[in-house]
Amino acid sequence: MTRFKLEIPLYSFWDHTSLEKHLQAMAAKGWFIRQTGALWAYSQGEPAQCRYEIGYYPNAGVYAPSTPKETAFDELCESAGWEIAAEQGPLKIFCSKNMDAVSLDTDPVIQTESIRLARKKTQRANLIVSAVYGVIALIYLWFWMMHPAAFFHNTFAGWFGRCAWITSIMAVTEEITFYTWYKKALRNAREQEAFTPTRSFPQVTLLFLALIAANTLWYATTHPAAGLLFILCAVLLFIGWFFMEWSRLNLRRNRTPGWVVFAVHLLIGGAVFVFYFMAQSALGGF
Amino acid sequence: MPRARFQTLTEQMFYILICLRKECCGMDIMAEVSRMTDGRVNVGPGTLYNLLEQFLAADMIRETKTEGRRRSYILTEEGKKALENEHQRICQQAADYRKWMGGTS
Repeated sequence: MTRFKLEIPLYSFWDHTSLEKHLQAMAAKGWFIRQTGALWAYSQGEPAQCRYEIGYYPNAGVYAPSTPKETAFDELCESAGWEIAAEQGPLKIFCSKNMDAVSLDTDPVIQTESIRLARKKTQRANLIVSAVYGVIALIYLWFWMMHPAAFFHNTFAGWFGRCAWITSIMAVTEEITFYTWYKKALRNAREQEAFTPTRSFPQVTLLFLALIAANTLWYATTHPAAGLLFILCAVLLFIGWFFMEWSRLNLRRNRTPGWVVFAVHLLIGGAVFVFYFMAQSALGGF
Repeated sequence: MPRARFQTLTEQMFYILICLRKECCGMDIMAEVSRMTDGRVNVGPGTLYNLLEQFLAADMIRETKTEGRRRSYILTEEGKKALENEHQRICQQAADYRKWMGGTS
């Protein structure tokens, strides 16, 4: 029976250098990437020397089946010895057993621009969420300035306010890190035709996630029933998210119409939220 | 200051366009560029895909046929002009080198 391993992705979407190194190290230990998303799934096999490269295809569909152009891109990469191992919208992970295979990207300007465009596509939705969190964070900041002790109030609202702050700082850090790299990479590419390795900070992401987890645990321990339900739902949401991604990939591969894939996505996500709100109401509200 | 688009061609653009003097598909282009330059210049599939799309948008090449998933292209008059301009520019550079550095080649 094939063994699987799940991992929380800590590298940024655009940090192909670190991702490639990480995937190569995992393959050397016998773990091969199979699925991306909220959790990255690896299957176990014989340890192997594999080369991984990330290709960014900005026009890739998320729900709709591959267009002829996207298929042409995949096939061109395959003809050069690169097999697609996993994908996440515009991010495509390719693997080659040939350590001397020509890299997917041989022009630094084109690569830098592809990364920016691919990121822009995925960031559209993230930006809306980040903006909402930012506004909430500012409202809480004002409230905490008026009532400093409220910061330590362990209510649902207090938990939410602290989470909004952590998430907002995380989003700003990510933007600064990306644009610092992008400006440098574009200059190097145009002036020296040189590639600039990418670098995100997984330790920082881990720290933010640990802060959110600590905040949640604190809330859960002081509100045993509601808190446990809350943690259960957070875990359910994570599992639901994993299956959302799994169903999306499989349905898309089978060329299922985009609206069907989106509806399945919405159904799984919605089911977790409905369960949470119904259970929370049964416990006497928030 | 960034160069205007296709005002000068990179080495990869130059050899891709030379390959497209006759009908060629993406896979053939990658092999042909490497063969023409004895492996000195290699074009990756991601870069090639992007460049072919850009050349198509600039009417420098046109798609000739699609056999299964294989798409073939050929140079247009616009593409030939860009290639010729680049050739002239390289020749001028070589002539300037000979003139000022005294080389013979």
